[in-house]
Amino acid sequence: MSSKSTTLPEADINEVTTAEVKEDKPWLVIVWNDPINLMNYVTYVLQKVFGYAEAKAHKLMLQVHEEGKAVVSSGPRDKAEIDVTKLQHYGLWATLQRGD
Amino acid sequence: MKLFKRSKDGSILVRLDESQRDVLAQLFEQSKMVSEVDRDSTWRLNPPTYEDPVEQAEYQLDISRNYHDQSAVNNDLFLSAAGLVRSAKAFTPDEAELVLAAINKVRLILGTMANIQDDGGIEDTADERIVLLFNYYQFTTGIISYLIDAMW
Repeated sequence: MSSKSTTLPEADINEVTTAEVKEDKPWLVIVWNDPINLMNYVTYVLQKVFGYAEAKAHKLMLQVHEEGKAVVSSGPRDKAEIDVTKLQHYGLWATLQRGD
Repeated sequence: MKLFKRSKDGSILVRLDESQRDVLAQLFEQSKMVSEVDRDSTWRLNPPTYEDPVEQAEYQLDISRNYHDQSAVNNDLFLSAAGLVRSAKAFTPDEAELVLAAINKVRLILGTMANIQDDGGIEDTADERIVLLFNYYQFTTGIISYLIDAMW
């Protein structure tokens, strides 16, 4: 084993650090407003998929309806992908976005 | 009369008459056919998961490697739902979930084809095809509302 120490160029260190931080950020599951899905249907699906209480699901549904979208869950990428798949199974317009 | 009613054992009694059952089953069957040939009208059944196009492409590749085709899943859903609404006197909770998701997917197709507006209606039109699609859309709106009420 070589005892010679090596030093990474500063730019490389920054790159690794930025990538690691980026990977640690939670992924956001977003539901978008659309004119087809009924309000009570969206509330029902949010309760069913996430186990939210009716009041929380209703509040998120209203946020979708009034603001055009809402973050309905967040977490590691794998879990967020599963959440989006479940929401899309029910026909909700759901997408995945890297957290800021 | 409510078209669906929850029983004490958790099942959902189906009170659709024969013509309602027939129309709904045909809508499921036709939605299956449309989803096989018309991507423009059925894009809401398979929307992109990622907003970033590169991440979406990677995800799509991963999905196609590891899972079966999503359109095949939708086709199975439509066929199962058609069978249930034609004959079932009651839905189990799982069957009710299946039918609920299938009706909503029919609504996504009809709503896209009829170009449903933000107020839930359609633009004034003399196009009989659009008016017919909208009538079916409204029919499914009534059905799904009754079903949600019963399942809640």
